[in-house]
Amino acid sequence: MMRSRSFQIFRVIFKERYRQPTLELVIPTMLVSNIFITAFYARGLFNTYGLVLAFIPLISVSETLAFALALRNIIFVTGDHIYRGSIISFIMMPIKRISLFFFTYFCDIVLPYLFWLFTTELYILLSGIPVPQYLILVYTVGYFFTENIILLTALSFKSGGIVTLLSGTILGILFIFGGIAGYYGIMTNSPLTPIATISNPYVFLIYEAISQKQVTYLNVGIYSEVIISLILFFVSLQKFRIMEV
Amino acid sequence: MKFGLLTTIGLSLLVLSLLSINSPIHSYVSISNPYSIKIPNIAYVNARLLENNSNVTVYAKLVHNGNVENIVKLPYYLELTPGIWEFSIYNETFPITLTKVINATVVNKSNGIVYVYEYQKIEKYQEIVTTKNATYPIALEVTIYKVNILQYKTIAEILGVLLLFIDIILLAFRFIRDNHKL
Amino acid sequence: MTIEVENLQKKFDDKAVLKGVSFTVRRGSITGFIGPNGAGKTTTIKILAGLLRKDTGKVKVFGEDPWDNPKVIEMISVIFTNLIHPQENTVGEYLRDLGNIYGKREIINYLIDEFKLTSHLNKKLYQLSSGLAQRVQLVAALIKEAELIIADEPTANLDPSFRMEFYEIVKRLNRKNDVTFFISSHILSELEKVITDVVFINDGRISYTGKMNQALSGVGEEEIYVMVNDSERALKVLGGILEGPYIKVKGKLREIVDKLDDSGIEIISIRRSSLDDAFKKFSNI
Repeated sequence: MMRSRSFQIFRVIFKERYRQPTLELVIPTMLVSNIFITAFYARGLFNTYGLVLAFIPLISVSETLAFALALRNIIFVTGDHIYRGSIISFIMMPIKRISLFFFTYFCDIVLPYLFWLFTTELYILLSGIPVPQYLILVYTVGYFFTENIILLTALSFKSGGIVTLLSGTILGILFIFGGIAGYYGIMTNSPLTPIATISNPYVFLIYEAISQKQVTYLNVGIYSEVIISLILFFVSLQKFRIMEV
Repeated sequence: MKFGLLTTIGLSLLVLSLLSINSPIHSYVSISNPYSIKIPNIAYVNARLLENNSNVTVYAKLVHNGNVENIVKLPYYLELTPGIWEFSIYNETFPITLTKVINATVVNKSNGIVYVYEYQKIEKYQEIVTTKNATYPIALEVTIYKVNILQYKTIAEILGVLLLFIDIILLAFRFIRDNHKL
Repeated sequence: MTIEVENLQKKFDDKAVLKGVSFTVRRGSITGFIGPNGAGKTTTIKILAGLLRKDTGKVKVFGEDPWDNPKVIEMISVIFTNLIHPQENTVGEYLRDLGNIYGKREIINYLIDEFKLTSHLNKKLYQLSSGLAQRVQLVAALIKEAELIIADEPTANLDPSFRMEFYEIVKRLNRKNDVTFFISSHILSELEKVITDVVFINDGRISYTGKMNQALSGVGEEEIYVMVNDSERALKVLGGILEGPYIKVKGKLREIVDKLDDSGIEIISIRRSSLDDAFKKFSNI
């Protein structure tokens, strides 16, 4: 009985985010837009360089779509519920707040990631293109890092507009200036270069692909992002648990 | 009519299995050291090997999947089948102009007196040089004229049709259930 | 006791809103929660519903702290002035979802018929009038089979006919299903016809808690409102002042009736002390 009740509550939360025809539009678009992987691969003369380019967010349609879907869920569904007060309806369901948070987190952030992962892996499998799995790993870590920033921002500020602006600014600065810093770091062989891997590892991946030299400190960025993501996650969880409406 | 998620995914798979990139992609690579390119199963590629200098005759070595395919005289055109192709310069033949000093004698008769002049003159001559160390790089022109989107088209097609079929059945069940409720 | 509150304190941004609130609500009662604006009614209700955390004090609903407590939430329902649920949902979706959550799918159709919501099932929640929205909230409370229904200004946006309908349903549920009600409202004239117990709150403190009749009887020298067929003559006989169609006069009811009878003045309507009067007294107005 209790398990069924939790499932029903999960169903309500899921339905809020994925009314028809959201999934019917998003998943096929993610799947079909992967043809750019093939296009970049061919354009790069079947080198890893082409694949790295194809997996850069904003260049990759499916990665951008996953990111945008999660952002919409966090700010314009969950955030909207909190700002308007309709979150009361969910808090008044017979479920612990921590469970409500996990259900919400799963629907908002984990599901778009799973859609992306499923469509990308299916495409890689059927196309036979040898995509290095570390490209999947780099996007995964970066995805949860950015979405956890957006989630904490949404729980901290009571306005959708402010959250959107702030998230966009923070992430834009991290990605763009991190990329620039990474580029100059590589050029000048600076000892501070590993720090830039946290905000934009793609510059280093491109460098690796072109120069055929391994960038050993890329792991610094991945581990740091994982730790920061976890911290942001637990802070958001605590904020949600003590949230007063 | 309410189309389900499975229908849209099935249709996407069917579309992908039919698609290919047919717009030719040209690439030029300058080769002085051995160069390898991996051709996947989904690609249809041809290549042209060209000498860089009109006075040079180049022989290139073609290796496919570790086996020496051929040693060919350039220019050379070939279809690149799937696998790893390696191109390297086998030898280069070109003429060089050398000079040598020769003794020349000129005899001149004038008023019954024979004048004999001896002098040295520089004479140019050409020699053909063959070397395995390439002086001039060769050009590899790669044309990818077709790339299939999917390698495993049949699997995608079967999966696509299966998903469509399952969704139609689910749609029918939903229709019967809704009618039954009314 | 359904609700037990002892020395409840709550601050917002260093401003004390509840300064030591203590009261109880007995099972099966319809308790009115009355106070002026800013007295702390909504804050108290939200703490009881588990939406706000208390700073200090004791709050027990069905014997347990309601904060983050699914066991308590399962037994209570909260009705607000407006229907608080994502407004893009239709009435049918909302009620069916609740039915699925509480495993009460069978009862939904009966309740929809009973509350005449059949023709409104496909309407989105934001399309509903205030009266319909309140009906939907009541149905939602019934789907839950809540033992305690807390209502925060539930009739604020309703016209008189819907208000009457709402209170009829309250009385019926209380009688038949033994549901306890805890209702805050500003429309005291209607509330006083329904409630059995009353809690007065003023400036973050409870000024009175107990049975209704005790609250009204302790008001002091009674103010009587009488409507007569000849107001001019009645004013000369009784004194008092004319307020609208009523003459307001202080005194004992029996004496006033006798005076008017002796003067041959017909009494159309007579009213004794009301909840409004008690409100003024306990709110220091």
